[in-house]
Amino acid sequence: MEDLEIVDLYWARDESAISETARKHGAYCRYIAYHILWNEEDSEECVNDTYLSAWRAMPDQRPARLGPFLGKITRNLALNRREAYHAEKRGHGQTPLALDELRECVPAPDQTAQAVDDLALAQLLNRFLASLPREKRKIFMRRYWYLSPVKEIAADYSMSESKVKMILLRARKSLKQLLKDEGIGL
Amino acid sequence: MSEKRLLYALGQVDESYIEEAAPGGFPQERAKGAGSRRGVVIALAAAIMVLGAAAALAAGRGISVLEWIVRAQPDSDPAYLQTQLDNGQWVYMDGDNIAVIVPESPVKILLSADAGETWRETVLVESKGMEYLGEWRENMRYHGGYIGFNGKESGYLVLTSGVSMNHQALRIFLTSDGGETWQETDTPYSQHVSVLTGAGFSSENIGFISYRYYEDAGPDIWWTSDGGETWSKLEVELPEDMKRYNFTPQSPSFDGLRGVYPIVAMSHEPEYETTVYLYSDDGGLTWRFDS
Repeated sequence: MEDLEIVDLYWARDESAISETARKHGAYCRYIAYHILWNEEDSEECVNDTYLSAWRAMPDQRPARLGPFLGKITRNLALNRREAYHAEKRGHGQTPLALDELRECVPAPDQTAQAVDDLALAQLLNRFLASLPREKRKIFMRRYWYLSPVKEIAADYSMSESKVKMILLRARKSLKQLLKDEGIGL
Repeated sequence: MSEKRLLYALGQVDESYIEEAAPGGFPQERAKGAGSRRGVVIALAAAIMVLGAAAALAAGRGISVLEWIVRAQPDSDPAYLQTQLDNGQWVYMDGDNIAVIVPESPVKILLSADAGETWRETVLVESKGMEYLGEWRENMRYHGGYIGFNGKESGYLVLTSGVSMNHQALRIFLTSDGGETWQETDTPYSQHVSVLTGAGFSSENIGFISYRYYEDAGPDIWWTSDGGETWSKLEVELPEDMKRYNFTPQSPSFDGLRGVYPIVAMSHEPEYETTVYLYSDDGGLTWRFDS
């Protein structure tokens, strides 16, 4: 079933919207949840929460791209769930590793740095992503949006792990420079 | 923490960037006497691990196997190809017998029975095209391949496409005349799609395809007992105390009816990687985990 037809089911409050969503996008959402939570049961619950959130969001929303729309919901839910686990001291290991890497992008505190809201930050990230060559952008997104392990990215792009790490290092440096040039503090 | 803010802010970027990078499809019982044979099968597993390294040294026609492949695919990353060789792709060695996949279009198989002194060559004319993401593509470039023999005549060849959206197409060919001719057989592709991490056959009928864990912890293994006509998921029982690991099966290896299936187990807290093994005494019909 086409995504637009699935969205129509949501708008018609037809419960088969959930099963059609699960059939078409379930694996994708599970991938996102699993690579943040690293636990099958938690991931499954997170994906079910995604369907519930989608049911609540449509209407009013009518996403043009249903996959990324669901992916964003899953990612947020999984990150929030992970935060809660960390608060309870029962977290897992992958996200902190990516956070360590992202820390390198953050410019040193500066008096001239201006605090920006989330929307402005997302717009700056869009500009940064648009400036990257397509393949490097995909690798950056695989690591920091999907939180995929470097080994997995290397296999998918037929590259050595060291080459992937080098691409990510250069991208992080570019992002840091852009944040610095724009005088943006985080 | 500002890096955390960055992580969350990334969640709000343009959906086209999320879409183009999407990895997923928008889409034991210990048998009696097993211990005494354990050394043999572990040696078999170890042989797989050193296969790639040995292949790099197995010079033929004056150049190494890696150079053959780089010449066939000049735009490939040699470091990645070396990783594939280290993982047992592209080449098979057993005593003086060597088989090498040269990923030209069509694919060429080089065979030697005297440790690389002399070579014979077969060309798989049928390998020129491949069904990929729902359409037939001519002059397909294969990104990986597994080749092996069980006995002098019977052998298998698994060719793989590149990876896109956790999707990797494959073709399987079998030979019953020592690699002179190859016949294509079915794959699990119509039932299951993921990224291949290994392949192997114990006979002309029994074969295995290994896939990377994706939606769950794995191991994700599909097998056939009728020469590839039908495929089903292999149910594997791993120990209870490894519940927090993810499993990536590699290529199984066989010595007659005895087989060993190496499976990489990875935990994330603590970050730790090890290899566990499944063993078979009946050519892969049944497997058991041996701690």
